[in-house]
Amino acid sequence: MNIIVMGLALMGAVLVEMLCPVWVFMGQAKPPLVMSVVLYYALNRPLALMLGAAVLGGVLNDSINALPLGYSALCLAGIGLAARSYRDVVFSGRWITHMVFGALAGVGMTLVLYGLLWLTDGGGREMSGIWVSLKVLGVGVYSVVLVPLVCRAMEQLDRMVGNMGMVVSE
Amino acid sequence: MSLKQSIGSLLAVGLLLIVLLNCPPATCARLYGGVRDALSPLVAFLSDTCSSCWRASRGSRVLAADNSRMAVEISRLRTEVRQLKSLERENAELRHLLGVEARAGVRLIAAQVTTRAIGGWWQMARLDKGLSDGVAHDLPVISAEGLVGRIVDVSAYTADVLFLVDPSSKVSAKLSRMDAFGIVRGQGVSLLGDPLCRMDFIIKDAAILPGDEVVSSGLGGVYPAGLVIGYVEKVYLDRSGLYQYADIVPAVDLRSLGFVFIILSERPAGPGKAAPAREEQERKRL
Repeated sequence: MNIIVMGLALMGAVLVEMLCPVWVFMGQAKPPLVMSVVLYYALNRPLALMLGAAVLGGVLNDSINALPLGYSALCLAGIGLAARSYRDVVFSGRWITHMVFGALAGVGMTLVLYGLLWLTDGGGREMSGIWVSLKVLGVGVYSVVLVPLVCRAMEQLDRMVGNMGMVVSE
Repeated sequence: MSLKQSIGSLLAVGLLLIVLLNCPPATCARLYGGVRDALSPLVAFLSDTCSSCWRASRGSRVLAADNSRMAVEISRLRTEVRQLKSLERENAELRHLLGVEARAGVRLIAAQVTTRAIGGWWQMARLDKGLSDGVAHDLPVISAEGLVGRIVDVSAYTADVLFLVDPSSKVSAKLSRMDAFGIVRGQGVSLLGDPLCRMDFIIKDAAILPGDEVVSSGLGGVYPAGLVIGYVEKVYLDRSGLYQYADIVPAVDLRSLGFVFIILSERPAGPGKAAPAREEQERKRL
């Protein structure tokens, strides 16, 4: 059931991301929904599931967004591992944690992706500094808003289908 | 999860990433095509639904205004088509008399834009036509207003078009008012959202005026000659003083592109009725 939920969540995230309109003042950034799902797995679920989500989400993301294969998977796995290594240090499960992690992950992923495109001449060199800054800012803003929401929604979904224990109110 | 399992997972994913990053281009294309084709019906449905909702939200008054504007446009276009048909006949007769072969036509296929700004990294859009409709790499894409770009990626049911305003796009062009050639390069999108292009390497003696029409030159083999690219906005002399360059406003509004046409191929020229006519003239002359 874990894998089915993960697959459906990633598929839905990719579709919504693809159909979302973009704004120039946000550097044509797309809402990072796939990254938000991977971040949820990094902060709340076992390592194997997080890595699976990173690879599957990355492959879907690259196929849909015309990126070289493996770039998104590499970034998502890196971000997931980084978030996972800090999840017990700070107040895990709080909105503020998700917002901070989300912003850092969004900015980090965009910069790493841009770096990879720049290094491999995948079109990154053609982009101006202002454009990249706007994109980084845009993804950061989206992540602050979306990561907590996606984490809550995914948590509810996992509890609903029995992947996680129900919270018993006191 | 035990330490052993964690290390195992990390190693497996590391290996998988190495395989993915070193995947041969043909395998990547098959994988990309498979994912895009599997999702394309759903994407087309969602895209249509979103467009319908958007149209419905604009209200019946706006739709009625659109409708009457289109009715006027249709009658204007019908008149133009009638005039053009008579001109085409006249042109064919004159070509026949002069012994010039008929010019090749083009075969177009209409496609709907299903996704804009793919990934947000490039100025690209995805179309709902692919290999199964005869679409291939590097085919030019146009709209009613002019040149849109070229196909850069194609799967069985989808194709990605790279807009001419993308910084990696280059088109061999010329000014239609004079024989001044140059290269039109994309400059991306301005912070106000306006698509930008620049025409480089124009001879320095050419008297270019703002508003001059820029068309594809036909050189380079990708774009046929005569496709409208845009209009000159400002002209500058290069710092070296050897050539001029000009800012170009694209003819097509890429922000509100709904339907486009892919130029599949140039139709072969009609049977050369001109040759016998020329031979007859030669015989008479002798």
